[in-house]
Amino acid sequence: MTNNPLMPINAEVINIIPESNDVKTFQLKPEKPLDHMPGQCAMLSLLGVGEALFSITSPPGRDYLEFSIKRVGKLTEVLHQMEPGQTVGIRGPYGNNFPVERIKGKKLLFIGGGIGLAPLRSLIQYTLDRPGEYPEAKQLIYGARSTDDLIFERDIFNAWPEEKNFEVNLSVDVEAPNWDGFVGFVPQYLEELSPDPQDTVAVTCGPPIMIKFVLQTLEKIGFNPDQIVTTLEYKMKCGIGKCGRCNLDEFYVCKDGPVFYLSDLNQMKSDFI
Amino acid sequence: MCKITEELQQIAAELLKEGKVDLVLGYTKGEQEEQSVPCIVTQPEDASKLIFDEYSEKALSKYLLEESFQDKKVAIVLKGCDQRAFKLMQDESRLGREDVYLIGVECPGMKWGEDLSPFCLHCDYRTPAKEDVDSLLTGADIPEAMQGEPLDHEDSFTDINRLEKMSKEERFEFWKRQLNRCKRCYTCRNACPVCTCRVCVFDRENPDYIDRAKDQMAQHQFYHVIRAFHVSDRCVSCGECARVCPEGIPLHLLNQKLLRELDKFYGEYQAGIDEVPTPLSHANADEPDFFGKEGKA
Amino acid sequence: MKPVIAAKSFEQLLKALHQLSSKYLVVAPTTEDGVEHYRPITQMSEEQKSQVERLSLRNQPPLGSVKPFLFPDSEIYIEFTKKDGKLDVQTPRASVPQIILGAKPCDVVSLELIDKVFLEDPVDGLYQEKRDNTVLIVNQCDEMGANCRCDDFGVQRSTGSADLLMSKDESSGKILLKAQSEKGNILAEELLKEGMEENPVFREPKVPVKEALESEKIQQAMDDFFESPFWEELAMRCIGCATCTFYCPTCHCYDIRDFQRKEQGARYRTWDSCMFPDYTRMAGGHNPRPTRKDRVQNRFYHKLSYFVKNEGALGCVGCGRCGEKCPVGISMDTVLNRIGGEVNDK
Repeated sequence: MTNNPLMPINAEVINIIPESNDVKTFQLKPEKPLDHMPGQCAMLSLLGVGEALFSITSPPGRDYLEFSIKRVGKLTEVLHQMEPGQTVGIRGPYGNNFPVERIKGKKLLFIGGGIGLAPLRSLIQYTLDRPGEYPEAKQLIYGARSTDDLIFERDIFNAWPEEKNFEVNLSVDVEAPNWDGFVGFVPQYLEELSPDPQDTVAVTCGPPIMIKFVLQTLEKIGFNPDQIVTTLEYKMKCGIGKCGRCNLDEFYVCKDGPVFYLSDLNQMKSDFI
Repeated sequence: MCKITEELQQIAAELLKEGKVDLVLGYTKGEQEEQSVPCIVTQPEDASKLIFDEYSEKALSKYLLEESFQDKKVAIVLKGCDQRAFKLMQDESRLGREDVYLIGVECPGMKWGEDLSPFCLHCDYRTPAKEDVDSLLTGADIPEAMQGEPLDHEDSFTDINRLEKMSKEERFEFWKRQLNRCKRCYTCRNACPVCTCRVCVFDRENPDYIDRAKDQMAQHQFYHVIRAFHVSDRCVSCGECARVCPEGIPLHLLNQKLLRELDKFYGEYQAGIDEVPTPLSHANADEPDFFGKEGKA
Repeated sequence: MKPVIAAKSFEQLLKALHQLSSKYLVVAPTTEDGVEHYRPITQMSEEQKSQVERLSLRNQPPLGSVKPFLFPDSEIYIEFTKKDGKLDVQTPRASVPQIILGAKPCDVVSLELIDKVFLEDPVDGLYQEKRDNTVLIVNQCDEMGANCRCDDFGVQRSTGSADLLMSKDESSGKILLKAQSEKGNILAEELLKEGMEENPVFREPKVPVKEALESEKIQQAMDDFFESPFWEELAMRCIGCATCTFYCPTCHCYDIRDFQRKEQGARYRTWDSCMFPDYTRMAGGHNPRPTRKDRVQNRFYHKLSYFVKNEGALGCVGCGRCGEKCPVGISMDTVLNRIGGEVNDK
């Protein structure tokens, strides 16, 4: 039997949670456990339809893996029509993870946009699960296009604001009835809030254009590049640094990423966004 | 140095010196023997790099559609077939005539290995018309084979005659062997000066109509037949598709065959010389109806 | 033991290999409609067989490299049928042992470069299986072909993972084979049984010694050259086709796709090219390498800088195929001559 790292194993869909118009969270139970860390990804596939890389949105230590998936293409369209009890292919986990050691003892600022909250959620929950290791103040600035596009409502409106020492700030791009949060783009909200960079690490994830402006704003309000962590989303096929496409300079985002410090990204010769 | 090259260098240097253009797009000597390659000159002192000879085969006109040529004043060297492609793009409103300085050149016929290109042998539009260009450079050293009347349509299509004589099965075998080597590198498409769609049907995201597999005969056939039909009445007979194919697939035969059939049904039409619309981009009530009950008209 | 065996003529060698074709797939270089490729000898016409000796012993690689026999241009790894809601999955059968006759040192080294990527953990089993199953009969070139730059890349003398070396003794017309691996020894034994004979000596090729380019120096020069306007000029000339990448023996990029018609389907991997815009364009439309300049630069930097940093070697063997087939005459030299400071004003 050929040892083929591209070969998926089966995972059962045990639950599907609708998050917004075009995002659903899938709880999967792989036939063999995949031990992951926050920030890592896995390849999900359906035979005859295709395969794509998604970040794992659940923290380690659950008996399922969660993926929050936006309907954007052929595979995600079919995934959205699935029902609990059906099977998908899975392989992974792939990539590096958020620097859970290096951020110990720091205040944590999470900045997310749209579906970009998915990988952050794994880290947020990981730190909340370990209050002894991550006792410092936490803050989330999260925005989406509209109130309909905010995901993980049970977390952002209920669970997280109730946590001790965790400030949750929400924004939407356009006005909506009964919305008392910020209206505007995430980088604007970040600038308005201007969190104190002292002893803080900022972790951001979202659409490329948002990341670009969030990084600029963070530097403007006093964060150093080695206090800023982001994840990159590149097109990936193999997930193991061989098929070639996701390289940024000599690094493969699927293998050496997707998590990078801005101080490392600034060393790259190629544009990373 | 031949007369055209000499004059070309002078004109290019002047245009750049006077600031009339930002760059001159022409040819220069390549790294290999008997090779001329596209060349972009932006400084008057570099105009001496430009040459024009019987290896200046690459069609240049399509470069004008590329992103990096936008918002620049460009002077471009055009042989007859390339000027036809330019004219077609102009007629199809893909680019404006006033934005470009055209340097027409008399073409001595391009080399295919030792021989002259069969396309050049039957070409009767080697040199762009004076009124279609801003400068016209003549005085090329015309080989004997091209000095008389060009070979007529029929004589230059020798390969097609051979194909038409084959049985259906033989013809299928012929194309099967040829197209089996295709890797879909899309060199033919990218080099073709009239393949100018903004987004090619074969570049769309996850199309259901074509597969990515490189070993699927049916997919290669599909690609080449679709491309041949898309190009058919717009082909300017430059021969680039066949020249650039790394697998030596005689792709021009598909185009020639279609041109011949179109000539039969709609009368002779030469893209980039005759007025648009091209035969297949409009329909007249009295045209033959191939799909009607009577079959072929 | 390094046995040397001899066939009286190339014809006898081909005949002996033919005898082994129930056990091995034997491929050799030939021409098809004038285009040079490796093809199974059992599928060759007599006319094609007559080309094999010339192309096997020639000082220049054929257009098609040996790569497709180890890393096929398309390779199915899951087959399935979906019937009445039931999914039945099969993996295709294992590869068969194969002999590649007349491989060139540049192609052998290019496989060694692909090894660095595919055989590094996690090992690409699809490739490894074929690599283990392949016996390479390599002829060392005496001279370089017109477009060859192998001496610059230190390749001409290198036959590291060749299983058997091959050369022709011009005076006797004998074809000599020298085994230099276990697989080579086994094949030599088998060929002895098919009528080849032991021979006291092997004819070593005339290999000129020329200093190869220093990979770290090239990498440094490339890195210093990143911001040069040269890349924009080069990108303006490039027409964005995939010829350079599809004929490169070291390119190993692939795509993974699914296919389904009615009840049957497959998942396969297939060559992809970094020159195509959709290679990096994501479903949402974002593209980290949106311009042709980004893509042209990435191709050359991958070969001449990133590969050095990741794998400790230049990602090019100087076979010259890309430059020979590029419709606008762009070659490795086009870049190497510039970064060397020596401007190619020919």
